[in-house]
Amino acid sequence: MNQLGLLLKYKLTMWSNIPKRRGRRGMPLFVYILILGSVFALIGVPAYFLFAEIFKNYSTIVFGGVSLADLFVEISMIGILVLVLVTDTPAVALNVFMSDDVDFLLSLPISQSTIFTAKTIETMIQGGFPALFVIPVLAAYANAVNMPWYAIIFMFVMYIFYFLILTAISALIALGISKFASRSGTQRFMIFTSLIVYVFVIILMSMVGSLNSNAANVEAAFSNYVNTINAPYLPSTWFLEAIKMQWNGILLVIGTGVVLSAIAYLVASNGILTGFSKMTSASKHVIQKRNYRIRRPVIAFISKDVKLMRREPSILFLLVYPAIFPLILVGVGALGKGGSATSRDIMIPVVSVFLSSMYTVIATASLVSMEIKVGDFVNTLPIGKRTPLWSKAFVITSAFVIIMIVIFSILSAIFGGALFPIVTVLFSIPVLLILSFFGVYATIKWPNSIGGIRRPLNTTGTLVSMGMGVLGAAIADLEGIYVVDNKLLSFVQPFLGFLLFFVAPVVVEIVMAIVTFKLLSKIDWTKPYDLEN
Amino acid sequence: MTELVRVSNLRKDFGKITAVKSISFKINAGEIYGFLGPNGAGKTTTMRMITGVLVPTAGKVEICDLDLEKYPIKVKSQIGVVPDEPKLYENLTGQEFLEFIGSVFSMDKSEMTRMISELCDAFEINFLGKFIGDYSHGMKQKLVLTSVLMRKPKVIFLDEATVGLDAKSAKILKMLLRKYADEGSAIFMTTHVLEIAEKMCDRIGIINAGEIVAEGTLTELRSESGKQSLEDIFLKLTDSNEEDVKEIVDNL
Repeated sequence: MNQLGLLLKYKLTMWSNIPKRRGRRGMPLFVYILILGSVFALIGVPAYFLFAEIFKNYSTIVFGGVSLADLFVEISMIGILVLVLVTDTPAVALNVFMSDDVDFLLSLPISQSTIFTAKTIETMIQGGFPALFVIPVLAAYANAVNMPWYAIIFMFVMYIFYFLILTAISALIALGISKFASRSGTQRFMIFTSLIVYVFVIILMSMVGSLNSNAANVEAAFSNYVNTINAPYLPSTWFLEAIKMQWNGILLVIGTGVVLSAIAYLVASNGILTGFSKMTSASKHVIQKRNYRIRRPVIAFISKDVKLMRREPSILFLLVYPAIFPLILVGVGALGKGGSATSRDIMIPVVSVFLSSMYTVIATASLVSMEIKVGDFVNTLPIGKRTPLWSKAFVITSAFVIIMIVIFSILSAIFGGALFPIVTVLFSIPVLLILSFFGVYATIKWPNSIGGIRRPLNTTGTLVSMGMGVLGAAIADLEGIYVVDNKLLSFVQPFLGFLLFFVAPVVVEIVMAIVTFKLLSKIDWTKPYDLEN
Repeated sequence: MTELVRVSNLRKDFGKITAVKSISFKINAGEIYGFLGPNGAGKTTTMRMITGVLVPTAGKVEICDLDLEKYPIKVKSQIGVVPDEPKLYENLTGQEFLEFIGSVFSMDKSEMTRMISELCDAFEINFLGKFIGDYSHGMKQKLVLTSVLMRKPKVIFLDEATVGLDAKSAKILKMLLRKYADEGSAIFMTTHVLEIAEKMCDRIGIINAGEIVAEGTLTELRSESGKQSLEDIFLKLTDSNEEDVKEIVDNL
């Protein structure tokens, strides 16, 4: 086996060994494939039928030789390009230059370019999953334009080359970043780029939302973007030409993919070591104060957890969602201009509470993962076992609540009317607190087999946490809507409305709290991996 | 003599495997107790049990006359633990970490400031403003040692504490431990460096396959085993001898 194959095999073995080390029975590979396949099918199949219908309707609308269906393919390709470049690039940089084993690998008689390639492939395998969701879009397009079977196969081959281009660009940028950025700089860059993706997704959603309007409106909306989307220098344009069997497109996609990959390989053969030296160099922040502050133990824990939360980009990223989303929705006009005042007043808090609720479990799990990472240390401290737990739940809940209050205050100042947001925040506090505690349980019950802070939960844990998040959001939002804007619920009898939209959520909330604390009492959160010994 | 640590019939099972088999020992105030044993003998498991990190399957641990099982928080406020591999919060600075420890142990602010200053001078620590994630192993070790020694705990547990330290810092640590012991603390230390154990420890316990196979002062161990050096005593008690070791090396 060649060295690249060996490195990938060693990584795969490592991943598969981690659950066993923790005393858990690892799921066979085919089960993972089955789960991923099911998730893909659940999303992909309906998406295929949705897009097949859309492409059939709009393949007849043509702007200067390019149909609306073609434009959607190009938009999808641009979407994947942005997604891969801005999310995977810093991930490649961190995985190549900052991972635990790179020091060891560099000491082996393996070329730097092989190490770089293996690390890039690892990252792309983990981060490239969203790229699969373009497949139903392409399949629907092929169906709409009646592509023969060999052209469909050719289209997917071209997609592989297209992904190669993105991977190579991502790798080259990562190599560039490593020359001048520090580790913390790269982490901050990750947050910044994630925000760009976020804005881009919202704009894309806004554009796709226009599909619901009539053909003339769609035509008017897209005529402004045709030249930009169909620009000759964009790889998405080459891809469209390639799948239409135009030679220039085919040559550009294949040629660029191969040439950029070769350049990335060559640059990596000389660049990884210097990049590694730069990124692992110690921080220059050397201010040694002589004044120390003594706090009460509980406050010391809260203060420490606030600092850790502030400095961990993956948690900041989760906190940014509920803060930014309502502002973007208003910014792109989804709620600001078109929506009525009532829908805006209701929707913004609903969205914000929904996102806070969705990410509370994961954010807490990330913070708990940091505590688990320091191992026995916390157990040697003279504090109650629940102190670190309460501290984390308090910090995460407070962070989300403060963010909501700030955002609602800004929007209330702009649009007026703050009653519903304030009531929603009040109702969301106990929900978020329960979800935080559930996050602690989830970290112990469903830890990610590859470990870490950025992805603290495995697939089951992530799905359960999302389910709990949706339930929590529904509770807080329903209670808020019932108390403030009862008119919205006029479609049900008043007594039934009271039962369904107030009593039931409160009961569910109490049940959630009881179940969560019962589950927590059954586990020792400080010893998640006791069987390691 | 005041017994600060009393361990009675301590056992730990991991499933069907018994890692530590009913061990007992005592450490007096003013004593440095060396705990030796080959890899996997049960040293770290024992240390984790007597510091309240791991719950024993059976047995009793008393520190400063307090039952660890009944009064874990009171016991932990009396002890300091230096692990073999310092895992700390990487996104805190050294100073923030020390503040955190000082707060958790409710230290006096001026006393803490004075102790940190003195220990930083002793261990040549000038990196407290940096994030712990940027520290080398030795720097982390110095930070943990500072966080423990600044409190002057009654009992100090050290697991391979000199690993990663430069020669000067290691020498200072050894002298400081002696000083703390002379002032009335009890020190429990594990080490693979037999020379350190030979020079520093007042009493030595040797554990092999989860059992204490010998315990006493160096003189007592010498007379019991009939061997002169601690290395020979250790090899004999852990089912090895000079000839076996030589044969292994020759066969390589």
